[in-house]
Amino acid sequence: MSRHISGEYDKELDSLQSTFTMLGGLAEQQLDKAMRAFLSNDSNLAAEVKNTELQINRHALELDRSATYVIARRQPAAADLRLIVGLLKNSTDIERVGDEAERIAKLSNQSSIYDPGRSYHNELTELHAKVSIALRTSLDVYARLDVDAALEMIASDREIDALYDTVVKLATEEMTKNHSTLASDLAIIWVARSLERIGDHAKNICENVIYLVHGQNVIHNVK
Amino acid sequence: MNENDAELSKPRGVNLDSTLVESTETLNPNELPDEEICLNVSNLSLRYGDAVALKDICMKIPRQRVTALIGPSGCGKSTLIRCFNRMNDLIEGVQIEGRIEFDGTEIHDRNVDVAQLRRRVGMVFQRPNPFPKSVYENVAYGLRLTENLPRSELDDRVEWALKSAALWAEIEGRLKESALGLSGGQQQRLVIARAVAVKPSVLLLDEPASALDPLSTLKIEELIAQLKADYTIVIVTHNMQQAARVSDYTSFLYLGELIEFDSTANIFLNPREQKTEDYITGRYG
Repeated sequence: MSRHISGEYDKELDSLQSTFTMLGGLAEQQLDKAMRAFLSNDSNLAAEVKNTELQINRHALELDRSATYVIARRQPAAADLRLIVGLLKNSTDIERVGDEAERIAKLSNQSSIYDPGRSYHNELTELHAKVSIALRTSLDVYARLDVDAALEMIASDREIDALYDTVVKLATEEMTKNHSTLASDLAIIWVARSLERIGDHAKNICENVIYLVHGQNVIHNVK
Repeated sequence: MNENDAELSKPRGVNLDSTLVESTETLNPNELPDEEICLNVSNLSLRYGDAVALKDICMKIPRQRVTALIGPSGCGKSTLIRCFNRMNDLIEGVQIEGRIEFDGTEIHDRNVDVAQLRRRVGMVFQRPNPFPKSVYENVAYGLRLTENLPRSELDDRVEWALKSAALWAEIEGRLKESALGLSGGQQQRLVIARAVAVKPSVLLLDEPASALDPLSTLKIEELIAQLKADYTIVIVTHNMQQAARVSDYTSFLYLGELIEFDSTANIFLNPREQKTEDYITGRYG
C-alpha cells in the first residue's frame, strides 16, 4: 500500500508494527524454552521464561497505549483502522501465548522428570511441533498479509485439535493404568491444553489477517 | 444487485464461501432496496463552458437520511449539491445533461417553478449568511414571501423553526436584535431555522460547519441528527470524520465522477475502490 501524505503517520504505524514483530518473536522463543524446560525439568530455563513473560506483558501494554494514541491523534479509517484494530487483537493473542508458555514452564517444577517412554510421547512431540509451526506461520502470514496462507493455517488447526484429543486420551489411559505417575500424566494434559490454546491464538491471528486485508470477519466459523 | 455487483461485493482475491459470519454487503448506488428515494440522479453531466465538472453521475438520495458528498477540492461535490435545487442555473455558460427526479418529478422540466423547487429544497452555505435584519425577520422572511400567515401563526412558526434549529433556548429574548450580533454558530443555526421555516423536504448543507469552532460544529452535527427525522439531508463536507459521524450514506467523488457510493459504515471501514481508500486514509495526492 502506498505511503500516507503524512510521513509522521507512517512512522507511527511502522513503530506499532515493529513492536508487534518483536512481541511475536519473544512469544516464539517462550514456547520453545517452555517446552524445553518442561521436557528436561530445567528450573533455570523455567525461571527465564517467567522473566521474559514480564517483558512480553510490558511490551503488550506499550503497544496498546501507542495504538490508542494513534487512534486519538489520527482518527484512522478503512485499512488503517483495520490495521490498528487487528494489531490490538493480535497483541492480546500474543500476550496470551506468553501466558500459556509460562504455564508450561511452571509445570516443569511440579512434575517428575519427563519420561519419553510414555505412550503419549510421539503425539505430544508432534503436537508441540505443529503448534510451533502454526505460531511461526501466523506471524509470517501477518508480516506478509498472505490471506491464502492464513486460510490454509486456519484449516490446519483441526489437526492440532485432533492431536490434543489423542494426547489427553492416552494420558488418561496411563492414569487409570498406573496411579504412581498420576501427577506427571496430569501435567501432560495441562501442557497439551496450553499447546492447543496456543494453536487457537495462532489461528486467531490468521483470522485477524483476513479481516485486516479484506474487512471480512471470519472468526468462529471457517470451514 | 446483479451478478457483477455481487462479485464486486466479495473480498478481492479470496474464495470465502457462505461460512462467513459477517458479510459487509456493499451497495449499488442505483439500488437501495430498503429506502424510499427522494432524489434520483440519472446520467447527470455538467459543464461550465468547456470544463467538465460532473460526468455521468447516477445515484439515489434516500428520504429522511443524511447523505454525505466527500472528495478533494474541485471533485464536483459542491456543483452536484447545487444541482439539486438548480442553483447552477444562475451561472452563465452552464450546460446540464441527464435527469434529476425529485419525488418523481424531473426538476429540469419546463413547468417546474424554480422558486417553488428552492422552497422545497432548502440550502445552507459554508459561511452563515443571515440577512441584516432582526433574528425574527430572518426566519419570517421566507414565510412572508410564500405564505400569508396571520401574525400569531407567523410567531408560532418562527418559534417552531428556531426550536427545530436548536436555537430558541439561546435567543428567545433576542428576537428583535440584529441577527448579525449572533455568534457564528448561532448565525448558522439561524440560517438553518430560516431554511426549515418554509417546511422544505430536503436540506442541502454545503460545508455548513467549516467556518465554525469545534463546539458550534458539534451543535450543528447534533442538529443534523435531529433534523433527519423530518428532512432528507445532503451534506458536502471536507471533514471526513464529520461525514463519518453524521451521515448514513457517503458518496466519494473524484474529478467529476462518482467513484463510490455506499453506506457510511462500508465507506469508512472497507471501501471497495482503491481511490476511496487512498482518499479517506490520507494517501491521496
